[in-house]
Amino acid sequence: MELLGVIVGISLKALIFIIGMFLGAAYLTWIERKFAGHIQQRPGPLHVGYHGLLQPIADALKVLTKEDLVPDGVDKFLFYLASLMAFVPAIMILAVVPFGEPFNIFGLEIKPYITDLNIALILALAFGSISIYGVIFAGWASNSKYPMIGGLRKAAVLIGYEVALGFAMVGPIMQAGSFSLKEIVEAQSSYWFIIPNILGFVVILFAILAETGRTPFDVQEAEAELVSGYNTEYTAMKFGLFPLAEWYIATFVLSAIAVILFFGGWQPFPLLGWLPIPGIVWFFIKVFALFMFFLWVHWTLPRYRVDQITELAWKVMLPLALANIFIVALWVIIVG
Amino acid sequence: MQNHLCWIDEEKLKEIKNKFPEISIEKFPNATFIYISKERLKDLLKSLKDEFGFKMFIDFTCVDYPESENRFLGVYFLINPKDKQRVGVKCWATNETLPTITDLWKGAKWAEREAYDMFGVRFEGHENLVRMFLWEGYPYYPLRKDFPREGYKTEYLPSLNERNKDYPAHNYDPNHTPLPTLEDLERTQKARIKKKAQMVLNWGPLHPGTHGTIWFIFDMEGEEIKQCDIILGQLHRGIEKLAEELTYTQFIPYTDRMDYISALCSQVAYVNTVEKLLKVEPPPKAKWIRTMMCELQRINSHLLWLGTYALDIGALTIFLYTFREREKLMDIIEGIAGIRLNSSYIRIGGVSKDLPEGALDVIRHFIKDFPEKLKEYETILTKNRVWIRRNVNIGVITEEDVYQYGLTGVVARASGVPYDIRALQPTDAYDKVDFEIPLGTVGDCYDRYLVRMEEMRQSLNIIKQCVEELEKLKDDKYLATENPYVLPTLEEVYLSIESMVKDFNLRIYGEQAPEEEIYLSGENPRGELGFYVVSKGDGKPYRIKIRSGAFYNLQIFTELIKGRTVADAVVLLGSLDPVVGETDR
Amino acid sequence: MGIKKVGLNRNIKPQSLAEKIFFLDFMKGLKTTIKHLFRKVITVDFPYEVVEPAPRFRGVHGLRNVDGTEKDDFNAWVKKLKIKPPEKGETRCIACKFCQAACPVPEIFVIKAKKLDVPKDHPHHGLKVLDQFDMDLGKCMFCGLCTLACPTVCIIHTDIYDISTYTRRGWILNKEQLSQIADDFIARRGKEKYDEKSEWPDYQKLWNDTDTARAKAWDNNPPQFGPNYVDQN
Repeated sequence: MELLGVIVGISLKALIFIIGMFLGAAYLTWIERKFAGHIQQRPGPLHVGYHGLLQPIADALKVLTKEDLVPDGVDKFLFYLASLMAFVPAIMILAVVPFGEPFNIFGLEIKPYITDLNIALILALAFGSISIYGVIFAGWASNSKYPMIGGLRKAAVLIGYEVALGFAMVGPIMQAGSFSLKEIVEAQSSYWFIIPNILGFVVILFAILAETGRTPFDVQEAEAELVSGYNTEYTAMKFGLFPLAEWYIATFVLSAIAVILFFGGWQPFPLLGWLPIPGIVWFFIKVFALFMFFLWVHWTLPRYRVDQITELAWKVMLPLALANIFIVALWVIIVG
Repeated sequence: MQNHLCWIDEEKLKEIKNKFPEISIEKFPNATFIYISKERLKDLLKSLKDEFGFKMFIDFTCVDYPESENRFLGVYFLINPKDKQRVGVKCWATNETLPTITDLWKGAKWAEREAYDMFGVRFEGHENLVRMFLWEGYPYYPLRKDFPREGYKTEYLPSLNERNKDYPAHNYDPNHTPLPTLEDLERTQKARIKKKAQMVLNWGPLHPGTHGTIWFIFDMEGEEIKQCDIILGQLHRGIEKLAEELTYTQFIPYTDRMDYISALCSQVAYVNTVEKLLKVEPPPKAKWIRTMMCELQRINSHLLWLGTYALDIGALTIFLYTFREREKLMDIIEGIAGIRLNSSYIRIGGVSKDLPEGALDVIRHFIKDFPEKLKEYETILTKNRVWIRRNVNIGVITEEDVYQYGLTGVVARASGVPYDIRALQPTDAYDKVDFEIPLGTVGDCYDRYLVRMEEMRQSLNIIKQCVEELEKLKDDKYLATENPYVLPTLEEVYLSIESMVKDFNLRIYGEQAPEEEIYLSGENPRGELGFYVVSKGDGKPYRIKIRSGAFYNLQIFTELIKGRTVADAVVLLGSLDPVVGETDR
Repeated sequence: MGIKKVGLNRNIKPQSLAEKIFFLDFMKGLKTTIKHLFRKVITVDFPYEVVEPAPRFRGVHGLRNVDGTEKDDFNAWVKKLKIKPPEKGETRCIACKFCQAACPVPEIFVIKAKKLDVPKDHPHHGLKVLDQFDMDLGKCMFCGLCTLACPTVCIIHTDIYDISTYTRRGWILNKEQLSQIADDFIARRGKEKYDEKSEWPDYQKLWNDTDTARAKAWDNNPPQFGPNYVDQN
């Protein structure tokens, strides 16, 4: 009985999280289009609903009802698998992200996270690495030249930045002393981990921009060069899952992890702790701010060439991450 | 040594006659040609290039004279940049062949391909003589005089129209001229390039990155390009053939559909040529108006270039910022000329309508407003490390390349060659305005970017001076209607009977030009746009050859891209700035 | 006319070490972009807001009718070309075919006039009337040479720019349609273009000033016109 209750509870929570993430991602597209529009002095979606608030729903309906063309020469199994493999791992990272402290409603204790593993961070990194396969399968299975070039480019970029990402995360782990994300947040109650980890934060910013494919690193779908990169041959919902997974869900989730590691998770701002705002709201404010920063960078900067990106990853980001580990080790010894 | 560009002088002609006693010299008021036989052609050209300093190749074309025994006449144009002189060399193509000059000037490769395509003249020694604009297997040579303007309608395509008994006059003919099939296109592609490396990638003709419908073929090893060739002709409309049945005024709307982004500059270049041929002098107010409109159009064109260039490299918002400025410019042009893009505003003898009331106020407002916008673009781009890494040392063009390929415009100036037609051969009011010519040093894409940004500032300077001058000339004439070749204005037609008769004659019979030839060019934002007009004495030109700057500038792309990746191809194409309407005509 | 040298080490200084480490070039670019977030929108919400074209705009053609504002020599033209003198409301076209002669694509026009079918003693015997005036706008370049050739200011350019149809046949406008278009246009905007003598004044205004949507295209900072702009007719 106890087991059944646990299973039902967790499945219900997982369902709420997944549906919430879908709706959230849909409305993140609305935020991006409005933001990009107003930077360019145009309104963005305006007529569908009040100021375009129903536009994501219209888009979802359009993508679901489009004709789904599968060219003849593709490798069918990998073709269908690729869009799933790009999308599922991004959602799976949600399983380990804690949103706040446990709170009570009507006597029930609700924990706003699905699990609390003691190796949560490694699991998140592992899931992120699986999504590279989605890109490679998409480029290969399409059996055409442009997707192949796009897929190979992105694979090269991702391998380099995964390494940098992993090394940059070592700093907060050393300071908190565990891999569990919940314990990392709780260890930041006195000061946030951003202070000794500035270099690590810069490396993680660039790594997130490269992982999720935003300029200045969006080389795999550089429209002027490769029409649409590795998802040229995809249509309808299979196509819709690619940007949804990469640009929105992955960015959101990776920003959440960055906020947990460096900015204190659900801890309030240093001097504003007396405001009656629950931890979840603080968390969401910080994640949205980081997300908007990524959008801002995307719509301003030009993009690098592929060999320049990989050069940056291995020659600049990796040494910076290693230097960061060294600095944090000194900090831990000196300050404690 | 004179200050302005002019035709070859007497001493050089005497020396050439000493060396080659069999030449004959043909002198028109606006052109000087040297006739030579086919056997000694290359020796003459080589000596002109090496000893007399005519090292820059400008143009090569053919003219068809069906009643003479050797039907085709090849015409070469060369420039001596140090002494600032031009010369033309003519040679009859006996047996419809000519020796190739690609070993002297590499830029002649495409010019000779075009002559082969249009006339059927073969060139001995050319490395890959294929058709330039039409597909392999097309059976005719269009610019010959016996090819009719409508073409030979051999294909039966009844689905082009529905027959209706009410309007028999406007039915479309069910027969159509030959159309290319997929096999034809494949054959064209295979004839251009032989695969030597790992894969052949078709970049274009329908692609969001090429500026228009240009078809590139890359022979690639991994991501590195080993060979490249370009198939043009997707937008070929046969403007030079159409010109042979139109009067000089009726051809003006066609000139602004070639380079549709800088339409007014093309019109001004054409009208300057025809005015020199007919010896018409426009009044001073018309000259200042033309200069001002040309410079406005130059800013317009450079803004479009900047927007699309930044878009291709990835800075997506600059595109919309530059289009915001272009909206203002197009509003100004719409108010003055009538239509935003293809305004046929310039006429022989002046401009077609005067400046409306309020135009100068609006232009002054624009002048005040624009420099801070330029500073905005520069803040986002010029010192950005991503921009510098993408642009510096990509596509370096040396001074020798400029002379060999006949590169003009910004591409030449960024490599250090001060070749600007506005300063070398000033028409209209360019000799009365004061401006500076930006010169680069290295000749890479970054220098071309800097030169174009600086040119926008200089154009703004010129417009300011024009506005001040036009304030004083408020009540002047804008069309030199006392000249017998100029169409009168409407008031004069209504008031006097002689104007009405002149109007009637000019419209129906055309401007009866003297039997001369002329070559003159103007400075388009894309390069030098030259017009070579052969007139046989009636109202319609016998042959017009349009020397388009974008066509010759694009030719160096195939050389520069070897050893680079596809990402650099985008940057290089953007910085050479072709417009397909002008490369294909 | 001097020469100005540009280049990476000429008028652009390369980045210093401090600029490289602190990403100052990125910061400046980002600051410029975020400033635009707080400015007003410059796009016009077509079709709810429409920018009216300038008075000199060259849109679809129209054939004007007689309405009392013709030129002084209109009757002389009518008599010379043996046309029946038109009354108020009938077309001004005298079938002189100047527009077809001036046009670069003469196949656009089909102009025919036919003799009147009246008995011998009728005063209008032997005179012609315009029978067919078709224009195929699918071939037209909108260059304006025909309007400058017409001696009676009959064919004019209106400000209509959307002429999309489902078939190519729909682009062929006949005499009645063209007259209707011109009537419409003159009633709406005739005063901006023509004065009482149907003249096309050279001192027309640049734009009509009843246009608020055009201010948006000027970044909400429209130009101020000089003092004598307002009292042009």
